[in-house]
Amino acid sequence: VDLAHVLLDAAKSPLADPVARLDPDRPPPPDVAEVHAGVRSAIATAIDAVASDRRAQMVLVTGEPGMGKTHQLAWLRARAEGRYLCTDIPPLKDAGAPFTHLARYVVQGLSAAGQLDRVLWDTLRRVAAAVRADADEHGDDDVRDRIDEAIVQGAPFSLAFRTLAQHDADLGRLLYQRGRRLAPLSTLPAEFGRVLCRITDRQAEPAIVDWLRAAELPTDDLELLGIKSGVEGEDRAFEVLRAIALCAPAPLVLCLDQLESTAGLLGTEGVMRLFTALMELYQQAPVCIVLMCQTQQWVELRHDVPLAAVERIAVLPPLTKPTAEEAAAIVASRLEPFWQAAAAEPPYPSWPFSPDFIAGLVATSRPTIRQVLLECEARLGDMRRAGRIVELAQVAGPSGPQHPRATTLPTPVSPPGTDVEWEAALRAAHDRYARGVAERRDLGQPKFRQELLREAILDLLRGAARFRYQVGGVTVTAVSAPRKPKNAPRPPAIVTLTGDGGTCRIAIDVHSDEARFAYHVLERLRAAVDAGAADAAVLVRESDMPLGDGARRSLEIASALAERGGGVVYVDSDSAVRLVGAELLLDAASAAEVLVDGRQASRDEALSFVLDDDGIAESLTSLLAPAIAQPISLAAGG
Amino acid sequence: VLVAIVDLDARLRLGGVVPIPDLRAELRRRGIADDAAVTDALESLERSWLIDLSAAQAPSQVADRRAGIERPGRGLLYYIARR
Repeated sequence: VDLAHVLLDAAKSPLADPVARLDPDRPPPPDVAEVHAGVRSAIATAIDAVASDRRAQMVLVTGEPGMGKTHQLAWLRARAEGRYLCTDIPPLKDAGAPFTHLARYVVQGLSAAGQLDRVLWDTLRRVAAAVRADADEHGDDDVRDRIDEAIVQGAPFSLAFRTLAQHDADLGRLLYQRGRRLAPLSTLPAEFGRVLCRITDRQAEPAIVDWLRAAELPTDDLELLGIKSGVEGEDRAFEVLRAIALCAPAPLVLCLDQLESTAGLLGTEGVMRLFTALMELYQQAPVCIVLMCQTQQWVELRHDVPLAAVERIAVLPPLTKPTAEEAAAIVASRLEPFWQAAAAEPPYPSWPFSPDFIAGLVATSRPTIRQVLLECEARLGDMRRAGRIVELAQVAGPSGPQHPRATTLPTPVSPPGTDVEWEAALRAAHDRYARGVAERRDLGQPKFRQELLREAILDLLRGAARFRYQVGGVTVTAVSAPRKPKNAPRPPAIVTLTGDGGTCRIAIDVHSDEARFAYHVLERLRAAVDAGAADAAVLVRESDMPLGDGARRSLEIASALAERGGGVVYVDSDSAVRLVGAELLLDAASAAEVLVDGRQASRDEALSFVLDDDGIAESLTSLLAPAIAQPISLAAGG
Repeated sequence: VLVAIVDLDARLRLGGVVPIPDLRAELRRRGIADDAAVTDALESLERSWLIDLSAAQAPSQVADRRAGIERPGRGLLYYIARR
């Protein structure tokens, strides 16, 4: 086999470094056993402790950008195989609602992965078993026989139990009445138990998931669940989280990557709120919390984190830079699938990057893992463009002797690129994040990504305000996003625009959930205008979730808002995905993960780029249409 | 230098990451005021794989930039992590 052709003919460069966070449903890049083994072992031990002792654990991993923190999380997900339930929590962006944020993404993550049904049905199956045993003991044959019609013992049969139990819609009510003083129902929050037991009613089942993820349910859905209100407050969101952790048949692992993003956006107070919430969860629910943070940020953050939290977190030693041997193993691990596929046997696993070359690279610049891959990728890219693979024997290092067949390479710093190249690279990064949003199961549905869409729109508008950026001929002068009150729904954000005609304040919110649920958010928008807090109000929805005839009351309010210069603005799915992709790009830039031309793009640079990106500018213009006299697509008028 | 790093980490509970300015201050308290010698020692320890020197991600925001170690291609080395 011609080794060179294996590398030249590959559709994608073997050393391309995909951002693991983008593709949680795909296998992450290869792992190397000897690299960061201590971290893997510490996290595995923490999860085992949760499983065996039902005692919470909190682990913090720090390291420079590009040292493999996100990679570790990707592999933690990939290795779960049912032994634990992994959920990714994006950076917190509303300091007022940490539990709502955690609960939403836990429920959405488990739901998208198809694990939430199992958690709920397995819990109900255990409730049924407890009630049956109690009925048997008390000679209540009717109850025992009714449960026997449905119950299939053993966790693997929880979904078979579902099929049988849903033939008897009222069975859940019976289980609640007879089981609430028995474990496991007696150990769960009362409201959660009541809602859970309604799951035997097929009509109620979807509403349960919506209730758990804190959607604002209409009254008839709440009645179906036998409750009066949704998960609006922080206390209820906490109870949902605690209940899911208690119900989960395997340890629940909450993965919080990019802590520095929360610190950057919400400052010290936001970090304090997040850690206070995590501590409360730690004390009352059997969860494993895995935190990832940049070294520098953690050194600064830890002064602000409550002492009680710092004392309980297992802070692992910072991820160490790769040795020459580790770096060679990492490069080899990326090349190995290509050799295997071609049944080729290179002279050494990292060919054409000799161990001496990699040792020189490591000695010269002490690179992070990402820098090792980028350096090798840059050289391999040059070779692929030239159509010729050249074995690299050695880099000229500060102290090492020159090898006789050495290929002395320029210092591993990329030449400065042009603006055009810079923009093309940022556009490629934005495209990659947008594609990731479209492909991720947990963000693939409009209702699951509506929070990120809201954050994207507000962050971009804030950026426009800071840079005095013109949107459709008007200037965004201020964006005010009130914090969610502890026990009430979040008020709309207010965007202030200034143009030739004066100043206009627009109340804005995003809602891409079921049309039936839009009523409450529209009411709040109308209230903002009625109270004089805004001149007009806009509700942003994805066009795949139109307000149809079934949402009569919502349509009435939308019409009323339209008469006052606002209404419902629809964003098509592609634009929504690009907006959310922009938000992820900004988060990644905050975490120093956006590398362009060999250097990290800052958040401001990424923000400036996306604001200039045509698609984003058009989307923002259409959102602000009421103030800038652009036509808006109203539900009633199509 | 290594002893001072270990002591500082334990005493201030730094979680394994010691800022270089803190180390320099500690060494001055112990009678070692030659910053260049400390820089040489740190680089030697790194070459011996006893420590990693980590760059500040936001050099403009660090407390004492001049006490770090500027290295072209690596940035402002500002933190020490023991291996």
